[in-house]
Amino acid sequence: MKNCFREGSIASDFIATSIAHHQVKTNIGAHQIFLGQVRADQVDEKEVRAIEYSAHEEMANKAFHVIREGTFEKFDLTCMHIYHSIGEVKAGEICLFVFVSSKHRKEVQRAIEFVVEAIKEKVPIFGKELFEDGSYVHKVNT
Amino acid sequence: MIVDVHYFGMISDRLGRSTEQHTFDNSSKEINLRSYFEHRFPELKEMSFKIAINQELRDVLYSKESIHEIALLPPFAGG
Repeated sequence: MKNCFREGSIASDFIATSIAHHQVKTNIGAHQIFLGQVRADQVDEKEVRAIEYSAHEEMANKAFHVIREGTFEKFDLTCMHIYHSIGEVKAGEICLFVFVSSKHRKEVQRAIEFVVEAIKEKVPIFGKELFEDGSYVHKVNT
Repeated sequence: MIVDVHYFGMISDRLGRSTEQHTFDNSSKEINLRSYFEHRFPELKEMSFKIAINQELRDVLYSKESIHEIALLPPFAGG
């Protein structure tokens, strides 16, 4: 089972390298990328400094695998990559990187939405929103 | 049957534990794990959570089935 988790934030260099790796795949005509970024939300007049992600990692990697298989079945994709952070990610940093590629743009546009919604709904990942004063609240997807 | 029970996120926080072992006797009957855990930890009644048995989302432990893991999962927050 592929491990989709990366410790800490997903660096922009990592994303750039991932894009560059696709230059040899010349049957691709369209890429679509989704980047989730940690937002400095205001909660009870305190600002979120970072999110600390935890997960049932084995179950989550299985869920990522099922989402990946389901997406390939539903859409005509050439390739697909998912990376999610585990541990602490500061506000402004990237915590989710989804990358889908196909011959044509419409496939990837539909696929990216499908994948991101499935990740939010089906993968057992949990998050704590950390504040400057050391307190925190648990994050829940809406 | 002795089973590892894992607690995650806000559930782990609230119950003050992350892993422990529980003993279940399902030799002659099925067990509704939601009722079992809510009885054991009344604070769970006011929390939203899913149960995974051997990493599969379901609440009922069938009669005579052998399992090794139960997880209590609070609402997901990925992305």
